[in-house]
Amino acid sequence: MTMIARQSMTVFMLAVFSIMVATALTYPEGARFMPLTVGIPGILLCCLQIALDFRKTESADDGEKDEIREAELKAAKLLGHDVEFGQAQVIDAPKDHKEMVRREIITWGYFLGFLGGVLLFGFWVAIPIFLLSFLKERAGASWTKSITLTCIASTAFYFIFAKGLGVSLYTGMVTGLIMDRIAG
Amino acid sequence: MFDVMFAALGALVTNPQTMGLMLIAVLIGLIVGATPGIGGRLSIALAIPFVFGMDMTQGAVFLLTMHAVNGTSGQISSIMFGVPGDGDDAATTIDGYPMAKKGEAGRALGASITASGVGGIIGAIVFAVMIPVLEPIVLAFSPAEFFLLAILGITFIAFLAGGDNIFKGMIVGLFGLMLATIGMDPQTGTARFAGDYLFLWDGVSLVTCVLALFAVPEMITLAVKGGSIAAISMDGVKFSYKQIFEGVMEVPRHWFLALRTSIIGALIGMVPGLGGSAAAWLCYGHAVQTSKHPERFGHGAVEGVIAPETASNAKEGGSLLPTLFFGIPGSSGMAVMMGAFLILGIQPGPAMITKHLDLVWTLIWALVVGNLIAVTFLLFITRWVAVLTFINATMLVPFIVVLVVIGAYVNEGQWENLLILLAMSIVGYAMLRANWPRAPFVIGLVLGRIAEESLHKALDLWGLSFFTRPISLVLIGMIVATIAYAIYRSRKPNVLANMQVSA
Repeated sequence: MTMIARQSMTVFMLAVFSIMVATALTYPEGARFMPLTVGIPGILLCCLQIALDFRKTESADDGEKDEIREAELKAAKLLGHDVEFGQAQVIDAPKDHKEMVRREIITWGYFLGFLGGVLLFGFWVAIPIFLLSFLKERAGASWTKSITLTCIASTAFYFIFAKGLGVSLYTGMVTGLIMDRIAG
Repeated sequence: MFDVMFAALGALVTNPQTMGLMLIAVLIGLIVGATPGIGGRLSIALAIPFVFGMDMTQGAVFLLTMHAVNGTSGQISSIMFGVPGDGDDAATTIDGYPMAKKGEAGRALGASITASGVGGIIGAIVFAVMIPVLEPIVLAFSPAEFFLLAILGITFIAFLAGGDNIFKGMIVGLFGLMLATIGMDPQTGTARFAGDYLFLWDGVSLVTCVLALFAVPEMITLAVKGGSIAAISMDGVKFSYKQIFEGVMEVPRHWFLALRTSIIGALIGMVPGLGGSAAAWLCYGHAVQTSKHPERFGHGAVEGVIAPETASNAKEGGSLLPTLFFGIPGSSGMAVMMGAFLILGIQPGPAMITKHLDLVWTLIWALVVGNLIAVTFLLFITRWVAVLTFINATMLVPFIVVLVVIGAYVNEGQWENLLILLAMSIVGYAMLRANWPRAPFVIGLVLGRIAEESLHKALDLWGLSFFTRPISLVLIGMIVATIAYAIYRSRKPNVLANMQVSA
């Protein structure tokens, strides 16, 4: 992880605390007390963390942990001899960093698309489209499997939430407008 | 106390609806525990929308049972394939996997499932025994001390992250407290940070934030990285019910070890900040040190399976104690659980002893009964549950995402919550990628309102001298000591490497 990537989270937090503290200063005394009590130490801690991030060298970087390897080392230390766990072969693991970034963008695209779909067309339209497209395109399932799973899941969601729990799910802005037009 | 205790048991087991919910919770908990990519924390977050509208007790029993049995099925992949699901299971792998390689997978599974159940039950008993011991301490806290308790809770959870991350953890905790101030101020009626957006006047939705911070980032990661174990041949790990029964009998054969490690596990669970895998590893070490033949460990000693399994499940009972009585979750899973309890209307604190002791006992019995059901189920269905390990996790992602989005909406029935879900999901994913702990945020958000009310109350009653009250001084001392110890640990990583725990 680069210094910029490492610090971006701290800077984000610092910005949040600073903006909220500045906003809180405009509130009456009783209302601003808690935001200031929390926000000012938050700002101080962020500054401290930024200083710590600067001190941290690239070699001491906290990259991703290999939990299994760590556990093997811990066990070996406890027992005084080597211990080897099984080798997990992860299905569909990304080959390189570039592939990972590509997948991140695509997955976020699906998530945003689904949220957008819900907001515009409502849950009952967005759910089957999202499920079918994700299963077929991203999870690599066959058409038969994707369609079958989509139908089963959409029906299950409908019966659990709409019928079972009596929840009225959002119908969407566009769908709402269309329904209003139809209704007259 | 005994009348409350047995009345709670009677009410639990004679209510068909509650028992039905417990059965469902056990099944879901076992399935989720064995499925790659869905941890205990995530399963609670996902289950929160389903307990809306449920009776307070039934909802709490449902969630706690599901959480309590999660680890019981988690060790299947570690024993059968040597692939631990999380830190708790890693200690079981050391001897469980060699047993499976020697053709004793059934014996190892029988021992681990039974040990897990026994641990869960003894953990609940230890919790019950501690109630009269802790009662005077709990009652000594006035509501005014809750502000410092909230800060202490955040400090402990921040400490869970380990090393110099305590500062990151505290920043995240304060971020949670800060977001808790959004909405109508209880003192002046000012709409803080809400502008003209009416949906923010009631504050930020806890459920939406929990789902955004825990569920969405995990699902995106699962979709990006893949998460299942490729189909490994199960030919080498075939086992019979006779073998499983032999394993079951290993636990009474090593009853004293099981008892000791369960008690140690429960006590570790009671110490916030020591949760995670510490209980399993410490008890595995204890089993090695107290064995007459320590050289057998690592090569398939059944004690090496029993010790970590009893401990890791016993800690669930232990960690319920600080969560319920002090509002300080013993682990990150309990942090999410506490959020769920608050949504159900369960307010942690001294009132749990003075007013809701029946609920406390119901939860203790739920742990006992839930574990009994889970062990019975799992001993018969282990071979089928093992197949779940091979599920292509990417296939699960869209279904869980749909549940998350529905959960965020159902919570308040406002579409604006979907925008909050999106914003907080981005923050949660950034935290995950930057190795920032996320659990302290939940504590901050959960305790924010209570902390603010208690701070105002304390200042009204005692002014700034509130900070010099004896209990306040003790709490401040604990906060300072935790931070100092975390800094010391980050400077001396090798000294305490074995105590490193996973949040």
